[in-house]
Amino acid sequence: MNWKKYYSLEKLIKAGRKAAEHCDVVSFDLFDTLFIRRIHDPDLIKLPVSRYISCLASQSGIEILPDRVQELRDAIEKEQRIETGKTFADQEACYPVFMRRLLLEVFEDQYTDTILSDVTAYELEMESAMLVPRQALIDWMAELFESGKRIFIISDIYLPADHLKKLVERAGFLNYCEDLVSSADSFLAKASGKGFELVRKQFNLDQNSWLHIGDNPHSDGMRAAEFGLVALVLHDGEEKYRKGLMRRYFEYGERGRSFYRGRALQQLMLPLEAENIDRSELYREGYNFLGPLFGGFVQHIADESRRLGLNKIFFLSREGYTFKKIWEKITPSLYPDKNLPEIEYLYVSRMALAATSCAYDGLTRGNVTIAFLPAGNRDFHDIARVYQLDIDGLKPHLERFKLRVDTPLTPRYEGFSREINIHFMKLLNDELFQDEIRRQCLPKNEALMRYLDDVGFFRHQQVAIVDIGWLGTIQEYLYNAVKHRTDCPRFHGYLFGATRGVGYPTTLKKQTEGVLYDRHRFDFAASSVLYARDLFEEACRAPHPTLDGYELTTDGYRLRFRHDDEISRAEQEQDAYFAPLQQGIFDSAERYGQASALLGYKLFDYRPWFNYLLTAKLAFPKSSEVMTIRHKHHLDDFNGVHRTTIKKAREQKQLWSSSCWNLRLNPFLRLRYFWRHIKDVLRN
Amino acid sequence: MSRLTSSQFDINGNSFWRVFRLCIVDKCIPFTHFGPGPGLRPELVLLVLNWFGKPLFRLAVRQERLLTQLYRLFGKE
Repeated sequence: MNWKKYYSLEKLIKAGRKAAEHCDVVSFDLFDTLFIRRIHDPDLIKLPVSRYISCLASQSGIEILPDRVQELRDAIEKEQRIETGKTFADQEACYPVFMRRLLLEVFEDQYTDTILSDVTAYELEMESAMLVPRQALIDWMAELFESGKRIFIISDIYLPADHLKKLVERAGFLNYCEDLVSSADSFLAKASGKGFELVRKQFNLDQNSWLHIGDNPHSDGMRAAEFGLVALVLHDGEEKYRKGLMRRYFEYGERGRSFYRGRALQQLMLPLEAENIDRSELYREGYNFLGPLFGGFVQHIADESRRLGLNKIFFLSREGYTFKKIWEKITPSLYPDKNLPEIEYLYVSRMALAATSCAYDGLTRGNVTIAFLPAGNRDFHDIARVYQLDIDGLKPHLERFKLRVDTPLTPRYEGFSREINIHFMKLLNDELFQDEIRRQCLPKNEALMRYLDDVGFFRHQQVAIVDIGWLGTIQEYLYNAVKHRTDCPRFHGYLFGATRGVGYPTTLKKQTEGVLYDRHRFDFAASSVLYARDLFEEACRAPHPTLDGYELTTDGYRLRFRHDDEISRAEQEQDAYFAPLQQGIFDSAERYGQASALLGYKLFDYRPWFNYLLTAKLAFPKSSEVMTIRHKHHLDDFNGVHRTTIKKAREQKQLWSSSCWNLRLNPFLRLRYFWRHIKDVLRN
Repeated sequence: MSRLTSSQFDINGNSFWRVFRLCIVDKCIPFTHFGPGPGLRPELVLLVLNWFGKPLFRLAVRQERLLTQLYRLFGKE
């Protein structure tokens, strides 16, 4: 027989080159030859399509479970194959025919051709997402094309040629082949050998000068050889190994080991063949570590928005910039029914909102507590800086209560006494003082109202507010700034991590949830985010300066951004350093959406793996990882310039601020910090 | 500079060996909430696959017919 099996791609191409010298025509099989699939089982592509059909049906008032859709599809496809088998030698199926039958059965009189085209587009989208061109074969194909060979692609599959052409075109090698032939169009397949006969007649080919490459020993080997072709069959052990790994991750996850669900997700996200090029360490961390975590976070927000029927999501600056971009990349694959809320990027910052939040309530004890959270804040100067107050207008009020602007107001500093605290509390209860605060803050609040009106904030009854964390101060300030309005929407706050260092009240109008980590939900592994909070902030930061405040203008409002000062320049330097990390996050987002849509899992399913990721990368990082991804500059505009005592400074030391040599040479460093972390979490 | 996917089709920088090691820590200090956990048998299977899978599959693919017969004999297929 004139066909041979090859166990490595290199050997097959080498033999192919030799054989092609005597041939004018070269034909290739498509799936598992020119294309490899990320997933081990091609039938898994059908599952997200079933979910999509179920969602579309639900929108039309028809309740049908995805499993039932899948059962129907299998039955209808099988039926068509049996019907075809009565007339033709091959039992082939044709996607548009059986899918139309399926949709007619599901939607009955509500069926339209638009549904079929939408479903087809989504199936091709998912199929395309899971296919990777085998680069060495494509390169050889290009060589053959340039040497003037006639190239054809022949596939035995239920997708017709025009659908396959879309897949091949997206992969970028359609121009190399003269035509593409699918068994779905003629029901004549390679499996019976009739497919080769059809191609010969259609394109007037000579089988004595024809080389065929494929992966199926029967269809691409034996049948091709019987027809008189020179056939080379690829039996790639490496590819079987990759699929074997993928299958195990997937099946362990499916069988209840939810730990592997996240691992399967990451396995599906991995770049293959020509996608897998050399990348910087930062890009790698963005793609393999932060990307899946942020993807899970955004997916959870989308799921919650659908569950609660939210119409609008505001991504708060500056971390919201990254979350919004991730949203835009993951949702087309995850939610093809497009039943999603509108999204908007909202320019806010703690500094800008702090002043606006005092316009109606004045300077509350809660506001003072927030101002004194950073260790560098000491006196009224710091309060005035945080809340953008004019000290000159407030000095007479301070003097009435025997306080000066530099009197220490926190026990962290020497000079603070109980008496000072009593005077300060009396000051906060003083109406004249609070009136002055309100007078100073009102214009900023008014400017904010104009901005929020402009972005349609008050047009919704409930909104989702998304931020990275950690205390939820921005959300609290925003709520305090708008709660006086009768059209104030209900706030659903979502934080990547909620440390809840300040107990902000949860009301019917405002609630906040920490998605990956929440102190209210005991989850020790997730609390590893506390090791390097700044890393997440720096990784997500938008490429624009922080907002300093809102200003009233004659024709409306103005957003005032931080000037180009030393801190801004340090931030720019940090942004430039983290640019590959951020690129890795963005690049992983699309792959996350496709992989998660295929697996059909939610954040709940990925949580055990994400917990592992957080613990491994933050609590037990490699020295090189810390050196690569720890930030160089981090701006905390709330923190003042005062220095606390040396003893307290030593207590605040973190694993992620340890020196390179300490990380490399101290074998118990991570365990020591881990033990301290356990104690801290349990104590809190 | 390195690739995201290792030559063993593992996650570069987060290999299964690292997963295995941390899961041992998890067994000693059970604070990490890894759900039902990775399980010892899957861990060992994956570890062997990650280390020796490539040569094993290269051999196995040549003896596919024999292996299929063995699978059938032991009722695996």
